[in-house]
Amino acid sequence: MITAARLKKDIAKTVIHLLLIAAVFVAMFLLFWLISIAVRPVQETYRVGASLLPKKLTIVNFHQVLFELPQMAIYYRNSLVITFIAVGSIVIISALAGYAFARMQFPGRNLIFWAVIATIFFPYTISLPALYDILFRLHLTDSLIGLILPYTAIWLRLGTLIMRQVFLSVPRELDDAAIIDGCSRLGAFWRVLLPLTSSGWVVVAIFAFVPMWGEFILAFTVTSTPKSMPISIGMKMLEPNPAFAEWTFPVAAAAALMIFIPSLLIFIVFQKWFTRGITAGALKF
Amino acid sequence: MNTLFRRIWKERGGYAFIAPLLGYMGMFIFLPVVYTIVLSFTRHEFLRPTKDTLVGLANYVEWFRDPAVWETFKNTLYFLAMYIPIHVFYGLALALLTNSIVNRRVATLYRSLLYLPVVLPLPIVAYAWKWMYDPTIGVFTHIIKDILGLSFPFSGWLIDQRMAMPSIAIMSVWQYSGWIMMLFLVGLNNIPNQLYEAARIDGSSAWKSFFRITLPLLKPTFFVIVIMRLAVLGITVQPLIMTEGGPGRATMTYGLHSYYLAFRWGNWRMGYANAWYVMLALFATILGVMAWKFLREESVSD
Repeated sequence: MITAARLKKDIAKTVIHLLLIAAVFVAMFLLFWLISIAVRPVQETYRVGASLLPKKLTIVNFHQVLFELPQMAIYYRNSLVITFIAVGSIVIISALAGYAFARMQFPGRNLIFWAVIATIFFPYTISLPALYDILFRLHLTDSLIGLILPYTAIWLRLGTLIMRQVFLSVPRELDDAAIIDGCSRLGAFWRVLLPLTSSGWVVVAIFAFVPMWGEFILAFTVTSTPKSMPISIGMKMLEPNPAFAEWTFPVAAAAALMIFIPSLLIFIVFQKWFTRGITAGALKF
Repeated sequence: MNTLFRRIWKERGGYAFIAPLLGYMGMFIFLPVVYTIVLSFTRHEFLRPTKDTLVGLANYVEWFRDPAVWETFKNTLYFLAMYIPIHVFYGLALALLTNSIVNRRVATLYRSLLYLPVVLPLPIVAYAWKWMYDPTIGVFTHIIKDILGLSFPFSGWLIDQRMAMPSIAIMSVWQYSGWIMMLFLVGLNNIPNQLYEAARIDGSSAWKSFFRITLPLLKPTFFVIVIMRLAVLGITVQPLIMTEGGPGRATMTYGLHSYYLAFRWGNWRMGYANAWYVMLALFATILGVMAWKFLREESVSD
């Protein structure tokens, strides 16, 4: 029998689902739209108010991005090299530092830790001219290494914060036992603690990769030739320009989607780590 | 003193573990911060190969007299006034809605899809929104005019003086609400369920428990959000990509103006630009400390 209270509850449930489906639709709309533009022939975008859905489907735009724009491959490779090296360095350095801050005793430990963490609240954009000047004096502007080094420094702090938390959550007896068994400090760290904290590094790597893949302002300032430009800057070169006869909206949309792919893959594969990272005090991002 | 050095020497292993961190931090975080402050007291024009000269407080005096400071600050506040409240309330609403779903798998699916925009690279999102706002191919004008048959009282989105800043705010709300949702979900999980049960037994309505239990106990989360969002005071990338500060100077934010002072206009007046950045950092620090004091005292007195 359907009681009034039950009916009311069912209606409330339906409304909640409808609202959430609407919110999901809004959140996904950009992807829908980019796909819909990227799979249509360029002629369909000349008309004012191009329709929501394509009339003809084509993969020619993706082909063009992949094989006919040689610079795209360079930008993509640059981005992969930069993020691979910087994320790798961040994982290693923050594991070492996190371990020291969680486990070892040395004068000034807490002071140093909080000095490092406090700088997270000051975005690097604030010291951009000084950073640029320093990189210029070191002859590092317009080079991959000139981006790898600052990126490592910028997202290292969050990694250190996370790794310290992770090491604090591992019972101390474990590494004490290893040291008693004849392991050195470094040996205990390497053989016992690192394998135990693998989910910690995954979180560190994800939370370094995501913002780094989309970093814009430093790369925009420091790079000036395609040989060192990451993909986020490369997008600017592909931007459709009304001054040219050939509008390339579908190609640009295809390129944008291909830049989204690594972020989306990481998000899908490591979904539950995202929540874990946020819960673990990894607040930014 | 000697004993301190001896202790430091004895514990050198610890310093060895943090040495790489300190190296990177020193070179690319601490040094630039110190150098920013130093440069702000000099006449440093990057493209002019003259030696820097110390000018004392001249850059700061100029900052206080520069009408662009107030103008760009107002633009930034206008952006924040639209962006912050909307995305906080929308994020809270999403958190409450997904939290009320009993089936955990369905709830997780909703959350993941809603969080998705957060992980997309910001510059590409900004370009894509710029195209969605485009008068020719753009989808929003198309939906409003052709599909819904409504009239759109502006000449466009990013090209209209009045709509440009709201357009950037809409994009930012879209991208970061999922992040706010996650923070609120963490906060909601920290509220013990017994409180709600006790309230229900006492016969209080759902609304009443929301205002009496949920909101007050989410205060730490609000605090975290305020602190994390202070960085938005320096918003630069979105207007740089989407409007370059235009039309006119409608979207010229404080951060973008500082950036152009240092890297686009004239001889790249980095000394003066650094005065802008230092003042911004001071302002953000004061706001942060105030927020900390205010919200901490509030939550203690509860």
